[in-house]
Amino acid sequence: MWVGVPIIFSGFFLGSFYALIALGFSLILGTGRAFNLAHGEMILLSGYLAFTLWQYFQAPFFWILLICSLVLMWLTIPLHFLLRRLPEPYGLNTLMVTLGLALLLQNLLLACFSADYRLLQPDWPAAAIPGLDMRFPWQQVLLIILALLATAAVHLVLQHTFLGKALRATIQDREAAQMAGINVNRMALAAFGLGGLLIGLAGPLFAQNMYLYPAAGVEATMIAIVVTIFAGLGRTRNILLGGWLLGLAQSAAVFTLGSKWRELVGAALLLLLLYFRPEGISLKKENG
Amino acid sequence: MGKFHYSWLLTAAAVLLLAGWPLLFPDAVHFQQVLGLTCLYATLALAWNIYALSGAISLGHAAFFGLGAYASALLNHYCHWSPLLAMPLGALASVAFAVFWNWGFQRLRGVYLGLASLAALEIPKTVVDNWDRLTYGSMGLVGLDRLPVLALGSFEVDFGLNLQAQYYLLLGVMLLAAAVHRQSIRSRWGWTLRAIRENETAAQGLGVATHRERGRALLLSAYLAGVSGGLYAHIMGLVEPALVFNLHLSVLPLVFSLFGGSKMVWGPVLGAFILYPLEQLLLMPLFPMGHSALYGLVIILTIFFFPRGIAAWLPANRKPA
Amino acid sequence: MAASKSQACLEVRQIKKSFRDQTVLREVSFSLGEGEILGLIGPNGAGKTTLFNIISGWQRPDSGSVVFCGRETTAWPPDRLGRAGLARTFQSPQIFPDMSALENVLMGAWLRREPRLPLPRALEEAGHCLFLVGLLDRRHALARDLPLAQQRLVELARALATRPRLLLLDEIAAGFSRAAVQRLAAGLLKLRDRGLTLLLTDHLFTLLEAVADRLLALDRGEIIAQGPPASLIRHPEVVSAYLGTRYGANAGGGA
Repeated sequence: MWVGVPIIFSGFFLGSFYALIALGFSLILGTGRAFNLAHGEMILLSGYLAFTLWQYFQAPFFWILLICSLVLMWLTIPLHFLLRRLPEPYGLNTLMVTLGLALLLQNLLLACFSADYRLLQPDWPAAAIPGLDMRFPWQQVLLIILALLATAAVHLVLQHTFLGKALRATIQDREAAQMAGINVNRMALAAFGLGGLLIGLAGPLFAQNMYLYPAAGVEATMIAIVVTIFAGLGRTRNILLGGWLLGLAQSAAVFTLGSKWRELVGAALLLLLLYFRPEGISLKKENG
Repeated sequence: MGKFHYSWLLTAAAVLLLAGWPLLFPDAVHFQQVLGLTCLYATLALAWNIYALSGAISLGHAAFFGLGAYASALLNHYCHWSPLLAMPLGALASVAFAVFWNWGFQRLRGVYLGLASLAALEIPKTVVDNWDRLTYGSMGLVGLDRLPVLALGSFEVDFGLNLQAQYYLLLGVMLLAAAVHRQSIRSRWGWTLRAIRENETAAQGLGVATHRERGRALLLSAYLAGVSGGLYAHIMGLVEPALVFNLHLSVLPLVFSLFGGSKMVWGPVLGAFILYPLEQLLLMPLFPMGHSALYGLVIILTIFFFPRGIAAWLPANRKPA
Repeated sequence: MAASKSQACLEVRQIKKSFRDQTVLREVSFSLGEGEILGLIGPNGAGKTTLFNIISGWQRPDSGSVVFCGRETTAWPPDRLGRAGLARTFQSPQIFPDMSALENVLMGAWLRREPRLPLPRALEEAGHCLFLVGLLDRRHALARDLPLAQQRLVELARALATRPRLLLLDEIAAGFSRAAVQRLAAGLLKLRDRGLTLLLTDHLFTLLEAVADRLLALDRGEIIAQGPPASLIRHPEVVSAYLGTRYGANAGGGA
């Protein structure tokens, strides 16, 4: 089998997950102008919660997903209120405060769970595709399905609901939206809530497919940032595309160079993006 | 002139205290070790802050620290250079990386500069981690020479094994760095950096070559960070990627400087001397896992409640005019 | 009426500038002699600030050139022009917010002056420039706490402290009271007598009338008229460009 096939599948798999984690980050950044460096740690928090529910309560996976999503939503909403009170320079201050939060969370997880790797391992069979000498654990299939569903759901909300239109308006041009009568603070609140749901959803999926350990959050945050900047704000299709491209690039690097090069791929892409787009994300989009 | 004397007095008293206490407690070896490392991290914080004075918040200074550590370690391991030679020269590796930074990040400001610096840490880390032939990869380099013995006639001081002497060496380096830091605030060049920080447009209009001056601040900052990395390598006797390219080392100088007061001459030192011993001596025994949460909490509280740092509360610290 | 000095301080030749598909400046040319005071008028959107930005190095023209003191400076960055003796103020005053008024002006006198001034001398100069704009008694006030009009004056004082050869003023008198405008006009004339060349743009015709030797009227990116203020006010194209609005009315507020 051509060596490209596992790379493509792996890239697709990783990329779908990356898109999922970038979605929440992008919504929070676009509407609330907040750079959440604790994004990855919050996903980990959800993941550890899922692990605990599975390990000690034998909760069925569906319930785990639901609980984690709701719990994280109730965590990101207070974060919104906290960040709102920050003075100028707003972006930099949110960056530093969430850095502090990330440190706090990381150490909290370290204290509660130690640095050991954890994995949520349900007894699910693996699916096989006829003709290809590969087996896909159901965890992976579920992750891809849920990630795509979530992206589609967010896309639909943004494009076809009233809330979505208001969110998009706020993302595109905060002042104009405010003048048009949109309560931008409430929009930010909605975005934080929605972001929390997405973060909560990502946690259990992470715990099932990748090893949980307290320091894993940093890379997850970096990935969310790269994909968000690549995609531009409020553009869900580009987030999917960006996620897949990053996943592909990482898989290719890992297959050819080794797993220790994985983290560099995301970082190098971020640096490239920032070199060509020093503004990061343009606040006002020229072409819709 | 009265205010001026007050701050000089305070400074002199502080230096005396820092220099004198080991003589009063020669057996408090653990304290000497912790406070020695405090001086080391204070040096790193001072280095970080010099760059921050130009308006840039870096989240990637661990890269300079680690490069300085590894360069010194490699020079010591392969060329058998004494640490006293390897450390100051090894720090030039950090400067080289800073040159790359300066070119690549020249159009970045604020948040995006911070993010880029965070990402940039991965570059030297991954290269060092993978260049097994040269750096032994993840295993790191062990068996590095400790800090050497200084022999003046019959008087011998072992900086490697004598923790008291080591403390004085680290204190000395910190005071040197503090002097450089002070000049970066009070001199004409310091005011140039401040002008760039407060309004880059206006500074340019006045004829300041902002790119060049920010570059200078960065290179100086990187060099000092590299020196602290080199010191760390020879104090510990080993280096490995996870240890010296650790994000924690990027965060510590930020926390110390912000908490102590980034615009103050003694800010970073104050932050280091309050927080690091607190964490190491009080929190670590109580919470062997997770004691670093202190720093996260401190960042959050500092930004919300005293963004100018605690040094801003001291009366002697009015902006120099 | 032409400047008695022969050397042209500033020459702008056929500057063209477009943003996306909108042409902001079409073939603008003029020159400014040493010791001359030239006023630029035009409705909003006529291209005045873009022209200023191009002259002071903040933007590049699509074609054309700028010659300052005999040197081609079209592609020069703003800091290089600053060192060459060009100073400017901005519509939104670019002050150093956490410095006092005196410290702000000190930056002008101290940071990049050639020859380099020692700090005590620079402080003296700074104080003097603040005195010229009438803000000496507010010298210790934090710049961010000053009202907008005073921030403009601080920015002006700071520009003067650099001892520029050419000063560009971008709507400096916006929001000034009648008395303040008169003081400003008198001050600018005195500075001109001491060798300063001035290019200013403003909506306040009383200021321009009092101070400018010559006016250039800009509309939709081209110069539609040139001449002394008295004649320009009657120029039919200028009047129609402003849609017949009477110039004389001084809208200045404040005390």
